[in-house]
Order: sequence, then C-alpha cells, then structure tokens
Amino acid sequence: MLFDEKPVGKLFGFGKAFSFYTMLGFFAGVLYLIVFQQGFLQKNIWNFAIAFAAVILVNAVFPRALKMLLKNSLSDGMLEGSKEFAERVSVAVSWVTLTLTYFFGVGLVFVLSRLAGKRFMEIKAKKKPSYWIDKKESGKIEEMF
Amino acid sequence: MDILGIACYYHDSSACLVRDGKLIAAAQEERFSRKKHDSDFPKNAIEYCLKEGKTTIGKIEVVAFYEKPFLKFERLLYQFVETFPKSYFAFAKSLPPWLTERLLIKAVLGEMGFKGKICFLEHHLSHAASSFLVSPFKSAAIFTADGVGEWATTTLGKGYGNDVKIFKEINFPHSLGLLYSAVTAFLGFRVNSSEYKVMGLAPYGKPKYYDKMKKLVDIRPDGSFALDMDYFCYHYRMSMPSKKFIELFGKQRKSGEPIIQFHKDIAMSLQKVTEEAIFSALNYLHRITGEENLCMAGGVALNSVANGKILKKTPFKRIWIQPAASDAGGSIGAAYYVYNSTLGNRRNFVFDSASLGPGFSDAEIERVLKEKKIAYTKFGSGKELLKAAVGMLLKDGVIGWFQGRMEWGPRALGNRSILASPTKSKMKDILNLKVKHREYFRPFAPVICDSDVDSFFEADKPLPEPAYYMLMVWPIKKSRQKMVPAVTHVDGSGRLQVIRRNQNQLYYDLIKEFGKKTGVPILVNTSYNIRGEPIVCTPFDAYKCMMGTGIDALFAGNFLIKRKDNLRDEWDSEKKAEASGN
Repeated sequence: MLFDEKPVGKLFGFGKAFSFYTMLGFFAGVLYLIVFQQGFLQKNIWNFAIAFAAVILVNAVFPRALKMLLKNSLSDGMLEGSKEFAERVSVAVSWVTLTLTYFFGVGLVFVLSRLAGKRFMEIKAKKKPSYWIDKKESGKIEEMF
Repeated sequence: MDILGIACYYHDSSACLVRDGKLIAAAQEERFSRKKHDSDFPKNAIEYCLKEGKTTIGKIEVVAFYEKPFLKFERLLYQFVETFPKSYFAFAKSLPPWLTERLLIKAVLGEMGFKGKICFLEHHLSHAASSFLVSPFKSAAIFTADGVGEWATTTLGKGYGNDVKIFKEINFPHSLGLLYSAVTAFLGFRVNSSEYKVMGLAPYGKPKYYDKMKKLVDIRPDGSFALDMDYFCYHYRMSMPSKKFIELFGKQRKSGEPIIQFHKDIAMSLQKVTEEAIFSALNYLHRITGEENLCMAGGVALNSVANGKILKKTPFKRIWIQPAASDAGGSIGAAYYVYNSTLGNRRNFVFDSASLGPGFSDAEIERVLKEKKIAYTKFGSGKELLKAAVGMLLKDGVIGWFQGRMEWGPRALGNRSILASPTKSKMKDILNLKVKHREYFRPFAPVICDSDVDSFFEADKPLPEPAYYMLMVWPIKKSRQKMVPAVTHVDGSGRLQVIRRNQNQLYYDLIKEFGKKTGVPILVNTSYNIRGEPIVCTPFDAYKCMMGTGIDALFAGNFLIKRKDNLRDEWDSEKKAEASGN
C-alpha cells in the first residue's frame, strides 16, 4: 500500500460492537445489583468480587489476549471496543465530578459574589466616550521610552 | 544563545528557534501532524527546529511561551462564575484539557529533557513583539487585535529599539476577532479557520446590514469598542451568535447550504464595520504616538482587504505585518521579546524571508521517489526545469511547485504552491474541479515580480513589505483585469504576492519566463494542499496530494513527477474530505 492507510477488516466493526456492548452489559449488571439489591455488597461480597473480576477480564485482559493470539480484524475490533468503553466510563466519571464542582464550587462563588456586589467581568459595558483601558504598568506614554 | 519559542493550546500551534538573535527555524505543528490548525503541544515542530539548529532540547537555555496560562485560566474561571449557570456545558468541556495539559507546560518540557528557564509572556505582548522586533523599523506604533489572549483582545502599543510596550487595551468579552468569528459561524463557516472565506465573500455583497451590524458593536471615534453581549453567547457556550442575534439577522446558515445574496450582504456589512473599527483605532494610535511606522499582529491583521487600505485611510507612511500574524506567530514574538527586551540584546535581525520550515535536498527527494517506486524525470539544469514548467503552464496545466524550505505562516509563497496560468477565466473552474473543490466565491491569488507590480496593480508606493507575504489586497488596473481573469476578484481586486529575485530565484525566473511567452508576468498561486488538510510539508506529502487531486505534474527540487506516469497511485482526496466533514 502506498499511503500507509491500514484497511479495516470485515470483522472489525463486529468485534468492536461485541466488545463494547458486552462490557456495557456487565457494567450495567453489576450496577443493577448494587443499586437495586439491598445489601448486595455485604451479603454477596464474593459474588461482587467475581462480577468485578469478570468485568476486568472481559474489559482489559481478554481483548488484549485475543489480539496477541489471533492478530486479525476481530481481535483489533474487540480491543478498540474495550478502549472506547473505558474512555466513555472515564468521561462519565469526569462529568459527574465536574458537575459537582460546578454547582457546589462555581455556584457558591457566584452566590457569594452577587451578595458582595462583586463583578469579575464587564459583560454589559456602560456607554463611555472611550472603551480603552490604560495598562497600569505602562505609565504615561511620553515617559515610556 | 538558543531560545525556543512555543505557541500552543488555542489554535495554530508553532515553534521557532532563535539563535543569537537570528531566526534559524520556525514551523507550525499542523504541517507535521497533518491536522489543520492543530492546537496540540508542538512536539513535532520543536523536534524540527532543534534538528535544523543541530541542537537538542537539553542545550536550549530559555523557552519562551507565548502566553500566561494561569492568567488565561483565571479569566476562564471568572467567565464561568460570571455567567453561572449558563456556563455549565462550557465548563465541563473546557476544564479537563486545562487540568491535564494546558497548565502543565513546565512538566511537559521537563519530560522532553529541558533543563533551562521558561518565560511566560502575555499573549498580546507576544503578538506585538512578533511584529515589531523583526520589523525593519527602529520605532513604530503597534496595533494588535485577535479573538482573545488572557484578558486583552485588542491593544495599542509602541516599539522603540529593542523594547515593546503596550499602553492601552480592550478586554474580553469585547473583541473584534470574536465579532468576526461570530458572524463567520452565523454564515455557516468554521470559526478560527474560515474567517478569510467571509472576507472573500464580502465583495459580492452590499453593506445593507451595516446599521444592524452597528447594533452589535458600539465603536467610539478613538476606535475603542464594546460589543452588546446580548447578541453573543461565546462567553458562556461553545457556540457564538445568540438567539437575539438570529432574531435580528434571520436564520443561521448551516454548512453546505447554498449561499444567497443575504449572506453576501452580511459579509460585506461585517467587513465595513471591522474596517471602521480598525481605521478609527489606527488614526487614534497615530495621534497619540506620532509615529509614521505601523506594526500589526493578531488574527485581525490577516484581514488583507483592510490591510490594503490602511496607508490610504490613516496617516501612517509604512506598515509591517509578519506573515504568521495570528497565534502561530506568537512563538516568534515570545522568543524575540526574551532575547531583545528581557535580556536587553540589540536587534540584529529583520524578517526578510518566510522560508523557515523544512527543506529537502535533491538526494533526499530522489531517495523518496526510488523508495516508493515513483516514476520521475531528473533535469540537468534549472533552465530545463523552467522550460518544462512554463510549457505545462502554457497548455493550461496545473503544476505542483515544491522547492526549498516550507513557508512560515498560513500562505503558500512559492515553496509549497500550486501554480497555473491566470490568463483564462476557465482556470478558476479547472482549479476548482481538479484540485481545490472550494466555494465558487473564493478568489485565487496572483503572484507577480516586484518590477511588474505597478503596471498591473494600484499598489501603495513605496511597496509595503507585507505584500511579499500575500497580506495586502489592491485593485487590479482596469485595463489589465481582462488579461488576468483567473485572479481578478468580483470587485476587481487581487490578493497579490510580490516576489523579489533575492527571495526566491527559481520562482521569480519562472514567473518572468511565463511573462516573456504570454506578456502576462503573473501566475495563479494557491496553497499546495487538499481540502481539509494543511499545506504539504514533505516530498511524499506533495506526491500524495498530486495523486489525490487533478494536479498534472509536480516539480520537486530538480525532478519532474507526472501524474499520468503514476496512475497506479491514484486516489480520491474529495471522498476523504467529504467523509471527514471538510
């Protein structure tokens, strides 16, 4: 091939989707057990450990092992699917963290600043003869040089 | 002393190497990564600069970074607080890259093996320095305007000797650059990328919406301005025009939708308002500095239509704009500010050539050709090469011109160019059909030798240096317009590149030779790239581009590579561009 663009095999898409949705299924299953089966963690700690290990196995170990063994488009696709799943989980976790930071951090500063009458930015500029702002450190122009 | 200048993390990342005040190398990251307007850390551009300077990162004494990341981050946080809770999505989207990379520049450089000092300069000071400190002037007034840096969006300053000072500024969210970008988005083009398309569209329209446009921005007689932020939402969202903007002007055009007269009139109205603000600010700047020389930088300084009118509309006598006037140029500004202003070294460099990127010897080009089994012909001399190239141009051929070091800045200036004859109107269609596939309204640029400018263009006298870097638009003389229809815009203007022989001998001789045969010493010069990709960098990029488009032949170094001799490598660049949404 002249242009180094690796052709995508027929099984790539299947492998990717299979891997992604299998992991999603495992993940959703474990979440279901934790949320809806009260006391699941305490009562079934071994079950949880097995489910967790299975997620890790299917998510991280299996696609890589398969890729090493098969080296075909199916294994490439499965590895890609597992990576995409991991990325999506990390994005979801980030969003949760950022949402909490935004509403409890930024929101709190917003409320306090409004109470104190402080503005951080002149979004609505009042009409003035000139909008130029003097740079403080520059001093008078004629004394500049 | 070696100083490495770096600009990155907004758009158009770049790096440059300054050695004892001389500019050794400079390049944009996009050319290596092949991602247009790449904003990532410019690892490849740095590697190239170090290689060109035959040095290593461990030996660099100072890294000059083009802005102050913590100050910019502070502005962002203030923005989020001030616009709470509307800024939620912008916060969630823009915060992670700041925390994972943009505030960690020292760590990234440390990992690369850098042990020296790092200087962080203000964004607009880097812009000002990028223009003045490499200009031919001992003293000059300086005007910078772009989207936004840390806080400033527009500044007035002065340069004298080896020092640069900024004394007035306008702060975010009031920004000429962002006003232009908001209308660019409204017209269905990409922000921070396609503003020049709006500029190209403007001459087709009339300033019918000038009064409405003036509702968006209050321009004072001293050129200062404030936007009515009710019409914009870029201060709290990742989009630009607000609901109120759309209520005022009508439906926003989506990419790919037809362009109608309304869009052209909007573009023209915007251009008129922008020019009004620029010229008012420049007149004020002249009044308070008393300078005759003007240096400009920032994305707004790439508005070549406005640039071409400055000497007529203001009292300035001379003008200088560095070719990479937008953020990419910040790396040069930062490096020179440290060298000249911070360290107090005398200025010993005037920017005279944009050939600052990678170059390839004939041996290197031939190695690639042989490796890839590409059919080619080698010329015995430059004369033979010129004869063959002119022969093809006379037959309405489209040729790729890959010679010398890659250009610095957004324009192809005869080192990585596509060239064609300007004498027939159909050449525009040929170029669009074969290669560029771009919007019908966008003009192609002419290149002309310095000795012929006055006979074809109504250019300023003496010829301003920015014309060497395709930064000025001037009217083509009426009597000549019919001779060069392929490069005459609808309003009779042309965004010309002027070339001197000492800048690029082979290129100059090619234009002259073409002139001898046709009586028209002008060529069409357009950037050597496929749609959606940056300008080519390596010989293989150039070959790949030719085989993916309809370019007839490539003149790379002393070699001729014909498309028809290599048909096995044919591919369709258009399909790729469409698939990637470009």
